[in-house]
Amino acid sequence: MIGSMRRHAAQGLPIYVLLIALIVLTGALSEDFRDPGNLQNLADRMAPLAVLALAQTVVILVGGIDLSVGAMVSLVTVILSFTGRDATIGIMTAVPLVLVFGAAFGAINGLGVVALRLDPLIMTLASSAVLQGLALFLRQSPGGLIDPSFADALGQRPLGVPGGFILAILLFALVWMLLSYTRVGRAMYAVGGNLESARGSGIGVDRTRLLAYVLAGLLAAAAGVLLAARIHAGDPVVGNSMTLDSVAAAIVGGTPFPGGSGGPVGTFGGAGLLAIIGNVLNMLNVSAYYQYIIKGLILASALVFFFYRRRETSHALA
Amino acid sequence: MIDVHSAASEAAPLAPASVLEGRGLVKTFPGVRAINEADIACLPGRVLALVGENGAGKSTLCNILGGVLQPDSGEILVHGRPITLRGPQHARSLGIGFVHQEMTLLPQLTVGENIMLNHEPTRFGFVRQRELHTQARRVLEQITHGIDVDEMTYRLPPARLQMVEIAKAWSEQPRILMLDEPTSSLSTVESDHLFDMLRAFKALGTSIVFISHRLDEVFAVADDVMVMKDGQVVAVRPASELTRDDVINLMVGRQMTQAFPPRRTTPAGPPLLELRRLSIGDRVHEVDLSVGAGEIVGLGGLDGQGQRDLVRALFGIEPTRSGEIRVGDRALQIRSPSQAIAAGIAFVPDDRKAEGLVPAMSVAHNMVLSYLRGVTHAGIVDRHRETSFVQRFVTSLDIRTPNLEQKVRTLSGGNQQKVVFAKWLMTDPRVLLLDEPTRGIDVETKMQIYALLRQLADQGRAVLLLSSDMLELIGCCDRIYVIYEGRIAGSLSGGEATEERLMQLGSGLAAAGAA
Repeated sequence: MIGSMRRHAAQGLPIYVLLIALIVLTGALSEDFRDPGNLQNLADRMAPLAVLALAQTVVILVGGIDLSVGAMVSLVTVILSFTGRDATIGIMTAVPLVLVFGAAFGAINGLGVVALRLDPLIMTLASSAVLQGLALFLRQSPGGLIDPSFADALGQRPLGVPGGFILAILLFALVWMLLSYTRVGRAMYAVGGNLESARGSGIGVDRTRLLAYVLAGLLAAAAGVLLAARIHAGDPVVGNSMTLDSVAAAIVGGTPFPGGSGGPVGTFGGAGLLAIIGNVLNMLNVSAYYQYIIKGLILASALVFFFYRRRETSHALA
Repeated sequence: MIDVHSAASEAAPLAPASVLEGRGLVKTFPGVRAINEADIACLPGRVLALVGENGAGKSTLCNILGGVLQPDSGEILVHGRPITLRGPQHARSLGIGFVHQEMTLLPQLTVGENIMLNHEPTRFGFVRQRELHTQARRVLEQITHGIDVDEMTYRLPPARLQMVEIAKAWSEQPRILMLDEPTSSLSTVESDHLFDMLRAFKALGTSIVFISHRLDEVFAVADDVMVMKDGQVVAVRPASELTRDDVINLMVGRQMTQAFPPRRTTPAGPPLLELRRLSIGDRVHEVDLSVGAGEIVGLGGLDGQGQRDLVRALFGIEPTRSGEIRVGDRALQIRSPSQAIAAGIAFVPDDRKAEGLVPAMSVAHNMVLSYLRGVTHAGIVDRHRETSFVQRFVTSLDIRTPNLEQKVRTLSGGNQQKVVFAKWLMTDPRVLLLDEPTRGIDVETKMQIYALLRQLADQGRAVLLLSSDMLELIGCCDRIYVIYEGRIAGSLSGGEATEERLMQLGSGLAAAGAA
C-alpha cells in the first residue's frame, strides 16, 4: 500500500486520542453519559454536523473555505418543511431537488472563486446572505412539517445505530474514497498543497476547485436533509451556528488552512469531539452562550497547534 | 540637477577611516558557504563596486552589512567600533542605507509616504501628512525631477520606482549607501542619471557600495573594485589600475573540480525544439534557437536577461508576443502547461518547492502528478501500477527516501530534485526544459543529474539547460546560447566555450562568435 493517504488520516490521529480520552473520562464520571439512549442521541445529533464538516473539509483541502454551508442547511430544512401536512411538494421530489440545488449553488460559489477570482471568504459570505434571505422569505419562523414517513425512515435504528448516523458514515466513506483513490482526489490535494506546482503538472486547477465547491454544496444540502429529518420542521436560522462548527470540526480534525493535507478521517473525529463537548456541557447545564465561547477557544487552540507544528516541520526542512 | 548644498550640512566630515567595515565574515546556508572569510572596508567619499559571477556572495555580503542577515562569524565595525547589527532598522539608525535589488515600496501608498516610511513626522502621535510630503519632496528633489510625491506609487514606471527606492534610503541621511544591482531595471540614460546622483552623494562624503554585473558602468563610476568569487574576496584594487579583461579574469578561473559525462561526438539529430523570431513581452526579442534530438543545449547569461521568461513561455506559463515555437515538425501555440505537456515538453522549474513539488504530498504522489492519466483507469488510481512506476524511478534515479509515502518536503534538496525529474520522466517527454536544475544541490547529486541529462539526450530527447553556473554549461552542453538583454548575444559549441568567452558575451562586450 502506498500513498500519503495514510498520513493524511494520521493527521487526524490527535483528535481521536482526545476524543477517546474524553469519552472514557466522561463515561467514567457520568452515568447519564454512558446511557445507551444518550449515546444514540449523541450519534443522531452529530450526523448533520459531521456531514457539514465534510463539506467544509473538501473546500478547505483545495485551499478555500465555504461560509455559506450553514445557511444552506437552514434553507434546506425550510424547503423540506413544506412536505408534511398539506404538502405543497412531495418528499420524493423535494429531496432530489434540494440536493441538485445545493450542488448548483456550490457551482455558483466555485465560479465566483475560480472565474471571477473573488476571495472565497467574501464570495461565500455573500452567497450565505442570499441563502439566508431565501430561507427567511419562505418561512419567517420555525414551523411546517417534514413528511413524517421520511423522518421516520431516517429515524430507524438498525442495531441501535441511528439511520442518520449511518448515512453520514456512508457519505464519509464515499468522499474518503474519492479523495484517496481517484485522479480528482489527487488533484484536490495537489491544488490545495501548491497551486503553481499543480498547474505546472498539467492539472486542471480551475476545474478541480470548482468541483470542490460543487461537492461542498451538495454535501451541505445533504446535511440539511439529515437535520430536517431529525427536527421534523423547517427553521430558517437553525444552520447559523453550524458554519463555525463545520470549520472548527475540519480544523480540529487535522485539515488546517491553507489546505492540501488532512481529510475526512480526522474531520469525523472533529465533529464527534464538538458533539460530545456540546452533549457534556448540556448535561452540566452550561448555557449555550458559554458553549460558544468554549467552541471558539477550541478552534483557536487547534489553529495555534497547527501553526506551531507547521513551523517545526518547515524548520526541519531548512 | 542635483542640489549638493542642501544636504552638505549633514554630511560626515571627510575622514580617512572606514565608515563601515567587515572582517572575516562567514555565512553558510544549507549546503553552501555563501561567503567565506570576507573582508570589506567602505571609505567615505569613495565608490566601491562589488563584482563577481552569479552566486559569488555579493548580495549576501551586502545583506550582512545591511543588518538583513546575521553572519555566522566575523566582525562588523561602524566608524571603527565593533557592533552587532540587530536588524535592518538598527543598521539604518547607524547610518547604513541599503537599496535592495527587489522592490520594497508599497504600491498603495503615495511616493512621499513610501520615502518617509517608518520615520514620518508626527505631532501628538498623528502623522503630519503635509509636512511629510514637504520633507519627501525635499529629499526627492536632490535626486531627480519629474516625480510627484503625491502620486500613488503603483502608477510609476519601474525606472522611477528605482529612484524612489534610492530617495527612501537617502531620506535617512546615511553615511554609507549600498545598492544591489540598481541599474538592472534602468535604461542607459537613466543609469547615467543614477551615476550622476552617486557622484553627488560621494562628493558629500558618503561612502557608496554598489553591486553590478555591467563592467562598463563599474568603470564609469567606481573608485575601487572588489572582485568576489565563490564567497571569497579575490581582489580589491583602485579601478584605475584595472582593465575589463583583468576583472573578467579575476571573476572566472574557478577550478574544474567536477567530472562531466563526455559530450556527444556525432552531430545531433533533426531539431526537436525550434524557436523562430520568438518575442515575449518586452523581455525577450526575436530569439532564434534550436535544440536537436540527442542534444543538450545551454542557455547562459547574467541573471534577468530574459532567459527565464523564455523557458517559462515555452512551457505555457508566460504568454508569447510573436514568433513561432516548433516542436518536432509542427508549429504550436502553447498557452498552458497542459498544452506543453501534451506536446511532449517537460519543465523542471527553478524553485522546486514553489513550482515543482507539492511539499506536503508524498514522494509517490508527487511523482505521478503529471502522469495521473497513466496510473488511473476511469478516474480510479491503480495502486499497483502506481507503485511499480514509482518504485522503478526511485531505483533508477537512486532517490533516497525511507519509503514512498514520505512527505517530499522532508527529503534533501538533491532528492527533491530527483523526484521532480522522475515526475517528468514518467511522461516520456521529447523536450526537457531545465531551469537551474542543480541549484542548492550537493555535489554527488549534481554529478548524477549531469549523467542523467546525457543519458536522456542519448535516448534522442532534446534538452535545454538554463544555468547561471558557467562551468555547468561548459561541462554539460553540446552548444551554448548566451542571452543579453533579451537577445541572443551569441552561441558557442561546448568545445570552444570558456568562462571568459561566456562572460564577454554575457556582459554585452563582445559580438557573437558564431551566432
